[in-house]
Amino acid sequence: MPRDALAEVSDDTLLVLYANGDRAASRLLTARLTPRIFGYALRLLADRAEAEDVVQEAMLRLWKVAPEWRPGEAQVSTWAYRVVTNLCTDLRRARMRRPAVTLEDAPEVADSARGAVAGMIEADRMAALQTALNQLPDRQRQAVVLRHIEGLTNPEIARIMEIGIEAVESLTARGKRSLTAILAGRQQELSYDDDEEGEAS
Amino acid sequence: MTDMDDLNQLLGAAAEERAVPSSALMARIVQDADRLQAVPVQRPRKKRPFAILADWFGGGFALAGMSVAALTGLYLGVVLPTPVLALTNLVTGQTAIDSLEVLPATSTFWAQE
Repeated sequence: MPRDALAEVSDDTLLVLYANGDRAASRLLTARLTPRIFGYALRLLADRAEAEDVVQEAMLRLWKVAPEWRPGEAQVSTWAYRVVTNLCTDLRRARMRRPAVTLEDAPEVADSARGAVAGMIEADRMAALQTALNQLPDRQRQAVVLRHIEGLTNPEIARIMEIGIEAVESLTARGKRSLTAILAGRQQELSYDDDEEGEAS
Repeated sequence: MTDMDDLNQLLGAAAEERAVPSSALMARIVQDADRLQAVPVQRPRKKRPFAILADWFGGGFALAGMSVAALTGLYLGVVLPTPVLALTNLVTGQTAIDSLEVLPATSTFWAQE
């Protein structure tokens, strides 16, 4: 089936089409899912190479389950996020003895049209956030990233993490409180107030 | 502004920054997809009884050859054609051959009535 004709097709249907031998379906599904789960994996692992490995493995598993996929039972994206979550948890457990991640290990942030100084400040903020995220317990970090960075709803997160909605709310609330505490010492340099004042003046 | 507001702004900014997967990763994923894509399986065709029989005898030609040989033997044995009798006489030196009438002529039955 031509790729344009598939643009409006759901992820579920694309996976079924892939299982039936449609190559265009796999390409479109890759283009839709990979950036999302890659961003998520990168936030959880703070390591580009490891995030790429995790995403490739998750997608590989998706292709393998395609023939048995039953449309309507689960969302493909939810399934993919769940696999990435589990793979990242395993990976982080495996590397527990390795040195802690430093600011330099934080993912690179794409430079935009803003000025170089503003870009550097923003990059520092992102790096600080990443460092703070890395200090959270796994479940809190997953919940905060899924809710506040990936923009998923609590029921979606509950399905991904296989917990109740109340537990998701609790994890995100505790995660944010911990982040605030971790970043408290750097509030001056991370605050957006100076930017707003600068833009106003 | 509170710490939580700052954090919300920071998270909001992080949500806008989208990490872009490398083209090499995308290529690897597509490659995996192509490799694992189900190839239509060619089911072996169900063999007909004649083919199974032919396989038993070593193929269709072998079966045909044996059939012809069997029919020829039956023909020679039942009909006893003159050229064959002459040939056997020549080889064995006998002028008379014991023959057993397997299938009596119909006139035999009429004679009994």
